[in-house]
Amino acid sequence: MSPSLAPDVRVRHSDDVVARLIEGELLIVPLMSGVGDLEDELYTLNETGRAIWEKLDGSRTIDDVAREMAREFDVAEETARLDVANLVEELLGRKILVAG
Amino acid sequence: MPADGAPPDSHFAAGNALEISGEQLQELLDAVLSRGRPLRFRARGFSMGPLVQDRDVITISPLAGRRPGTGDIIACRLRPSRRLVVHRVRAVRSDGLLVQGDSAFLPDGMIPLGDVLGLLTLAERDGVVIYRTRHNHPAIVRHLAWMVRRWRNRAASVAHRLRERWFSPG
Repeated sequence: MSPSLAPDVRVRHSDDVVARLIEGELLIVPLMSGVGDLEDELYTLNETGRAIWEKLDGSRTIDDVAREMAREFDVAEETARLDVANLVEELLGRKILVAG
Repeated sequence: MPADGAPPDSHFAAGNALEISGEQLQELLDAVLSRGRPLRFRARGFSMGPLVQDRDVITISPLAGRRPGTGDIIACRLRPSRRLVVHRVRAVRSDGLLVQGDSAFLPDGMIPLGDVLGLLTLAERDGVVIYRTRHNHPAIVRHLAWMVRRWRNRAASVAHRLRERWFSPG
């Protein structure tokens, strides 16, 4: 687990983003600046990123999400924890996720 | 997710390197405008030239209760294809708007107001603003501004042709 992120932290999607699964691709557009800007601020997540995203609903801790990911993707829990923490930190940094 | 022991892969891709389809753009436009926010994206196509050219960056803003008028440039869905276009309102009728690209020979047809997604409020080329409209101006002011721009463009075009004719070599 990343040292700056406690395992019992809960996070959820920011209210200030638009996220849509379109043609099999999850597209995320932040609206924090007041404008949806596909030129400078359009994000997409790959398959595992998408699976993590769907679990980040504010009800599960980071550790819960990592355990579910380890089970679903058949990887070691420690690997899943690192993966989830990295993505959560990245999305928190961009304010796409907020504390739950 | 990587195999055990491998470094985590990147789940994340960002920025203008992402290419999205017309369908994806239309859904995102719908979603963002319905939240009352404008959407800025790169336009593709030539139908609004010379004002808006292929790969210019445009901003579409929500209607927010405003009714588009003649000369406004709107984002709308065409029927029956539901294709998204950003074209100019040529006439306002009781059953909708007559819409046409500036460089198109024919209008797209009548567009019901329900198929209008938003208004073009800004266009940029290479980081420079090339078009900006203030939709809080009364419709008559916007219409007059469009007429002036239209006649100014026509005059420039005629002057260009005359210059070519008079000063062409040989």
